[in-house]
Amino acid sequence: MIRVTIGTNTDRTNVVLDPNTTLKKALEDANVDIGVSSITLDGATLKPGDINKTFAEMGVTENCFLIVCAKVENAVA
Amino acid sequence: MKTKIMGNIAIISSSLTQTEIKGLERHNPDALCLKDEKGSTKYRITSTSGAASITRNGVSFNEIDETTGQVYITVALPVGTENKAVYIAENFGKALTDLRTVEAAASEAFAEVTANIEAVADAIDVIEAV
Repeated sequence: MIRVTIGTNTDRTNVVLDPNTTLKKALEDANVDIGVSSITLDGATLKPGDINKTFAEMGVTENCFLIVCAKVENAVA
Repeated sequence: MKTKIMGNIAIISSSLTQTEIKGLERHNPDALCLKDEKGSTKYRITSTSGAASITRNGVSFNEIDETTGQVYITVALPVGTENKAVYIAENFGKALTDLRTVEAAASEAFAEVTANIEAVADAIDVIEAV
């Protein structure tokens, strides 16, 4: 089992997951919107397709940080 | 929970079956967890079809004993390990101690879940269409 810290712009939660869980499922179960976001795993930005890989496939063995940073538009005058 | 070492392989077996684990995951997932003082999960066990995992955060069992239905995992020991039992105790001691704690309550929790389901089913009248 691995401990994943899932962080967003406004919140941070710790969950204990089966390492065979995909990154996408972990975020969905945490009710995190990944629509217009950049996602990093232990500081490294995910590449296309990585979100459907499992934590085990991404090399996570015990702990990790999965951070979702929503991209928002600047105010327009 | 039992641990056996054969050669350079340690086999860690749970007293729980896959049926019990899957049943509890569906009806009472907290019975498979240990929580800290804030109520957050700090340890959890599961049965998986992927790679096995045993860490201080929990155990993912990926094998099933065909005879008993109990789940287990295999752990490879480094070649040349002299005192294998001590190696297992030092590297996985906390995980195994917490596993024992979870198992102690999980079987009773599964029995309660089964009884509740049976009670609900018994209270249902099935009327066959004429």
